[in-house]
This record gives sequence, C-alpha cells and structure tokens, in this order.
Amino acid sequence: MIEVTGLTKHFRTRGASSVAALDGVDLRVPDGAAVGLVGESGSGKSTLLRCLMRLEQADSGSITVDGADVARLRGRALAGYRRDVQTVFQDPMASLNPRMTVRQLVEEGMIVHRRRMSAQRRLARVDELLERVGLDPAHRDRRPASFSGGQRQRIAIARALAVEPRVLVCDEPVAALDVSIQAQVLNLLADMNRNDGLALLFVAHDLAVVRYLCDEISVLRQGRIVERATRDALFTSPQADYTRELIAAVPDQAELRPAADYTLTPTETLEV
Amino acid sequence: MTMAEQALLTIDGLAIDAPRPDGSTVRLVDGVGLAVAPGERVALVGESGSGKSVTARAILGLDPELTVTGSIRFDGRELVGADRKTLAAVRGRDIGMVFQDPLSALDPLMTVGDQIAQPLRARGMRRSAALAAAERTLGELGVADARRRMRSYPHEFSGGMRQRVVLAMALVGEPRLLIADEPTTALDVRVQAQVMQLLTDVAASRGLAVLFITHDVGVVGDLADRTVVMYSGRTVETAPVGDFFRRPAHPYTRGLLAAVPRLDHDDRLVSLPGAPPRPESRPVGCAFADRCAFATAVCRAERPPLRPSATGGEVACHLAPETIGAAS
Amino acid sequence: MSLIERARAASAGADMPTGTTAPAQAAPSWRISRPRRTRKSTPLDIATVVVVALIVLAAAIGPLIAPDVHSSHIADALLPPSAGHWFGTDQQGRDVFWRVVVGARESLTAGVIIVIGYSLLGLVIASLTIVGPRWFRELVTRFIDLGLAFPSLVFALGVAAALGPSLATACVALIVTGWPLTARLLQGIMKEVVTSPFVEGARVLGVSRTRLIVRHVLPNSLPVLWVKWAGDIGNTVLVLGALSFVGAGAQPPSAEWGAMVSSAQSIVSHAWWAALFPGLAIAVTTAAFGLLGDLLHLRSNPADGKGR
Repeated sequence: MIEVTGLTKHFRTRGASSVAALDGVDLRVPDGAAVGLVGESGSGKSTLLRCLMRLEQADSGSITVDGADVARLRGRALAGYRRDVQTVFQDPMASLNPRMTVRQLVEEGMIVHRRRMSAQRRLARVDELLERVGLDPAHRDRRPASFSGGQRQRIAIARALAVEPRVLVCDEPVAALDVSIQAQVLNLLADMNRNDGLALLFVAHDLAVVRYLCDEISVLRQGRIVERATRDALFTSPQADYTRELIAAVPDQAELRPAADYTLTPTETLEV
Repeated sequence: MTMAEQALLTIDGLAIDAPRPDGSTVRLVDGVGLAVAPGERVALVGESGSGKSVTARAILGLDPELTVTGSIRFDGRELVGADRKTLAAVRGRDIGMVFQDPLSALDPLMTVGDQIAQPLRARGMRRSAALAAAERTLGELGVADARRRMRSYPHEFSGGMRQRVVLAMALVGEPRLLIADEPTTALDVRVQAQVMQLLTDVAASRGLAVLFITHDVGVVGDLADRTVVMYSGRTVETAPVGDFFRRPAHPYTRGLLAAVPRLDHDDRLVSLPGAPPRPESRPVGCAFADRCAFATAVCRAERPPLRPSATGGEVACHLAPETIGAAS
Repeated sequence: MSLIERARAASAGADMPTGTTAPAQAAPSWRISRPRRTRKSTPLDIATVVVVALIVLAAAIGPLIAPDVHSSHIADALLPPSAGHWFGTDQQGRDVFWRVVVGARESLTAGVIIVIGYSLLGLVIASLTIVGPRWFRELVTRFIDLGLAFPSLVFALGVAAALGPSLATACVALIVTGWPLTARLLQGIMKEVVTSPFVEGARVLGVSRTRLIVRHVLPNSLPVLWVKWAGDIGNTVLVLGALSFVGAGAQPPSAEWGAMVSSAQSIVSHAWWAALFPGLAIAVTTAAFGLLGDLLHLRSNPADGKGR
C-alpha cells in the first residue's frame, strides 16, 4: 500500500561534493504486513522516514500511498495521509509535548482529524486507548514527565492509534527501553499487527527485535538497500556480506539457552 | 568463601542514600555485596533503577552528594569514607573506569594523545614518556598508526574509535581492575561486537579483572565469568555465567532472559508486567513480589536473604530452588 | 535538524559511521525519580522579595493614603529630614517622602505598560519569523536586526521633541524601541521549539499550522518572558527616570522620580535630600527587580546557580 521507488536524496557537504543519504531506495509496505528496515547510524534510515512523513522532500524517486504521490498531496488528501500513516519515535520524552497532559496528547489526533466527535466521545476513546496500551486511564491528567520511559512510549503509541491509522511507522521505538519493558512494547505491536491488521514499518538496528516482529526485512546500508528477503530466508541464507556481518554481530546465545524448567512461560507471568 | 579472602575487590553490605530537597533521603542501593577476584570478569546486570551504576560509581567515590555506608575494599584498602589521597591513588592507577558515552567523556579541545597521557602526567611522568605509553596502549587496542592518530581531536573519530580512546585512558595506568559502565549501550551492533571483543582480548592479555555493568543481557555471555543480577537496589542472584543463562534461579532473572528477542526461536517474549518499585516505595519484603507469579505471603512479608543456590551461585528468593525449576 | 546537522550526519555515514544509535542517557537513572531540586532561599532572596513587595505596595496604595503632595507650602520649603518630614521637603515645601511614595505608582505603572507593550509587539514580530515563505522570514529577521541597531534613548528624545515631552510620549517611544530585544530572544527560542521532536511529532499527526503555534510553540516559548519581565521592569524604571531627568519624560510638578531629581538639580548643594531620595528610589527599584529576575531565573533553572 505504501510504495517507495528509487528514492534519492543528496546533501551538500563542505566544498562542492555531495553525499547521497538515500540512493535509489525501493521499499514496499503492503496492507497488514510487518516490514522491517535494518540500518545502522548513517545508513539513511532517518532520512527515509522523514521523507515518508513529509518532513523533508526527496530529490528524486517517489513515495506513493495507494497509488497517490505523497509529495503532491494537499488539503484533505494530505490530512487523510497523515491519518493513515502514523509514527512512533525513538525518544519518547522528546516526542511528547512536556506541557500537555496524557489526555490532551492522546486526544489531539482526534481533534485534528475527527471534528465531529464530541468531547465526551473523545474522552471515552482516550480511556479505551490507554487501556489498550496497558496504561491506567486514571493517570490521564498527568504530564509525560511523571511516567517512565516505557510508559511514555506507550502514550506515544496510544496517540498514534487514536486516529486509527493503517500503517504504524516505528523509528527505533524500543532502543532506549529496558529489556522487560521492551518486551511489553514489542508484544503490543505484534498483537496489533497480527490481531488488528495494523501494518508496521519497523526501523531498527537490532536484528533480533526486527526478526521478532517482521515478515519481510530490508537491509539499508549507506543509502542503498543491500538485501531484501523474507524473515526466514534472511537469517538462514543471507546474501549480502553486510547482512552476514550484522547477523554475526548479534551475541550468540544458542548454547546459552535456558533449560526447559528454568524459564518462565507466558502463563507463568501475570501478563493478561 | 576463600574467594573473598583473595578477592581484589570486595563489596559488603553496601547501602547508598540520596538526599532529597525536603531533607529526607531515599535509598538507592539497599544492601549489596559482590566480590571480584584478580583476573576475574564479573558482569553486573540490571535494568534502569536497579542501582548498578550507582554501585559501580561508589567504588571510586564519584558521587560525593550520596551517602555511602558499608564496605568497599580494594586490595585490602577500605574505600568507603576514604580520604582524597587514598581515592586519588586508587583512581587511574589501580582501578580504571570507562563510561557509557565516549564523546562526552572526552575534552573536545585536547588532542587524543594528550588525553590518554593525562593520568600518567598527573602522577608526574614526563610528557614524552607518557605519550609513548599512550601510543603503546592505543596500539594494544588495535589502533593502527597510533602515533599519528594521537594528534587528532575527539570529534574527528568515529564512535568505535572514541571508545578505544576512552579505554586507553583507563588502561594506560596499568590498573588491575577495569570498571566498564554500560560501554556498549548507544552503539551500533557491529561496533558493540567490536568493543566487546576488544574488552575480552585486553582483559585476557593483561590478566585484568573486569567489573562490567550493563542492562543488555546479550553481551554478557562473551566476556563474563560470573554475573551478578541487581533489582531495585538489591542483589537477587549471582551465578557463573553458564548457569546464569542455562539455569537461572531467580524468577526475575528468568523473566529477564525470557524477554530478550532471539534469533534461534520464535516463542512469544515474556513481558513481566508492571515495573520495578520506585526507591521511595521499596517494599519491606521481596522487591520483586508484586511482579512475580510465584509470590507467596512470606515473599511479601520478609526480604529474602542471599543464600547459596542449587547451581553454585547465590539467590535471594524464598522459593528457590524448591518450587521453581527442576531438582538439580 | 538543521541542514548542517543533517549534512554532518550524512557525511558521517558515508565516510565512517559514528556508530551511535540511541541517545546516550544524560543523567543517571536515579535522578529521574527525584523531584526537581528547588533552590533554598537565601537571605538576599527574602530581602529582594520584601523590597519588591514594598515598592508594589507603595504604588498600589500610596496615593490613597498620602497627604496632599502637589500643593505648595512655601513656608516649609527646604526643610532637612526630621521626624515630621522623614525625607525633608523640597523647594515647594512638599514632603519628599510622600512624593517618593506617590511617585512609585507613576514609575511602576509606566514601567509595566512599557514592558508589556514591547513584549507583545516583540512576540507578534517574532512569530512572523516562523510562518510564511523563506524570503518573508528572512525579511522579518533583517527587520529585527535593524530594530536592534536603533538607538532607543536618542529616538525617545526625538519623539519628545516632536510630540512634546510627557510620560505618555516617553512610554510610546520606549515601546517602539524596546521590541527588538524581545523579538530576538523569542525568535531564537521559537525556532528551537519549532524544530523540536514533539513539534515534528505534532506536524506528523496532522496538526494545522495555527494550532501548532498556539498549542505547541507558544506555551513552550513564552515561559522565558515571565522571568525577563521582572528585570525589564527595573531597567525601564531607570530609563524612564533618565528621560524625565533630561526633561523628555514626565514633567514637573509630577512626582515621577526622574522629574523629582531633575527639579532638585539646582538646589542639590544645600538641599541634598530632595535629589538623593528620589534617586535612591530609582536605584533600589532597579536593583530589586533585577534581583527578582535573577531569582526567578534560578528557580526555573537550578543548574545555573552552581556558582552561587
């Protein structure tokens, strides 16, 4: 449903030379799919996302949504695009207005896109969303600063979900989180993808995380897609050297796996 | 424990309190103990708020506004409440420390060579000798053409290189213990792997003891001989590294390991509900009780002591190893 | 991100990856659970607040409780400070103490009007630097630069000469020349806020430009003004005093402090009290409000107070 074709963007550096942050990038995110984009710093993934979010313009190539060119959208069509494609950023503290309460933050999307909604309906939906992401609706009048990192990330997700998007673009959403909180957020995203049909474009540098969520993975290196494969194919027979390097860099735990009686199964946690 | 008798570093009954603006204190570390033998590599594992960084920093007395009680002995010398002279002698000479963000640890206006040489110069060594030592250390860390690169400034280096510089600064004084506080966080996977390999090689070649603090369970396997797990300011488990991964005793440790995404299977990640208690409201009993599926009344009422576990380490849990897990 | 930052990030990618991904933790995690450290009040803080309160009190109720300070009693002219006249009397026989108290209202009110006036003007103009096409924003920025280069006192004198000197014309002149500093300050802050991640997040959410400015940019940019106002009021009182002193502001027989000093010039050698006390009032007010501004600044940025 989202189709990126030949996206290219150059930056001018000191002197006359230019650097290609993106160099002919192709990417597809079909409806309901979970697509992973793996890239280290400097790979161009941030630029790609910013072009996708229309915070920046590419020099050439195109991004289309259901066939319509994203760069040319105006007015109502643009509003529709913004509603359909939502983003969760890496740093939850920085992406939430510190002066707004949780309720105001989650509501904002609804106010902007669904003007017919009464204040009452909005409030009910805020509570609904907070519960869905595992937060207590009673805390809705607090400000982001009084929540932990993982909770803030969930507020950000609730806010993104408020407008009922079709695609959730996630930019390293769990990189700054502790392992157990990371698991909570990842499970939430996996559930939304598998149960509610929410498409995901998940950008991360951590291969294991991408593998957990995504069916199809593209590897981005210095502005170019060096490999694209289904999840299983990528890990069993990686084609590109770079991909092999990335896989090799993941700490090898195969022989360090807990014995059967020494692990917690999901039913042994208090998880609902 | 004969280990403790010949240990290089022994921490015993450590408690660290932070002052609050209203005059009261909040306990960040609530009775922690660990030991590092000469040449041993210990990983101190915990999530944010576990108190692991505060503990490590207390070894070198880096946070004077915190009140530290208990004992931290390095090579027989007591460091808690030690005077400035003792601390200065230990820092940079016997104990080297590496922090998380290499860029902010480096002075942007000083060349890399001068910065690495600094700890030696502070002890009175001549500049030429200090720079020579710096060059040797950088070379040992795998930096080619070290002499030339020493004339550069930090911002001209990549993240992996900066980490090497910071490591060189910690190692140039030939310490016997290296404390690394989250050295791989905020690094790309490939650079992380490089840094871990570097640490492993250097530790092996110098017979260096390492206290490695991290929240990333994955990197522990390559470097550590033993792991210590902290939760809410307390030690909950210590174990040889193999047992830590294969036969974790404490429910928190199990939950932690089961929450890490893996490449070798597709089981649903275990996500422990809730979050660690805030230091101000740390429970009287086991700090993990309200997130633990096995918790009993005893768990909530009494704080579990650290006792030898079935697997050769120690665990602070009322129920291990009887209820949880197989018989050993 | 600015163009320079992006280029740097991109070039870093091309030559040598920086290798860093997640933002490094800025503070140890235990700091997050602590409430923000508030600075303990020093004796100077308390003295500052007391003095400011007294001045405001004088401005509020002074004229209501003071005896008549405008009519002359030549018989009592030029009496030195005594129990009956704490600050003595001036050449018209008017009690200097009460004139100083009454004058507080004029000086302070004018000061407040001027500061609010130029702040609003500065805010509007600064807001223009973040809307509209590039050339427009550039134009507004240059305009602010021009305003900054303009000499305010000289202009005020000119306005006084043109429109006839009075407190009102001085106010107008100072508002018209005072906005550039506020505009420059706000421009910098607004620019930073506009490019911050949460504003970008709101843009991505689809928030309209207007709502973006009203609900996101302004609330996060304006707090800096509250602190600035305290110091500014003190400064303005000083400038007003100076203008009145040279005859371009309030005119005698006004009890405005600058005017009082001005009319006491000729007699200062033998009746020092008529000039000293109003002058002292100006100095104390400027200092007290300045310290109040410092105090407010330190309360919201405790880290800056390390040197104290």
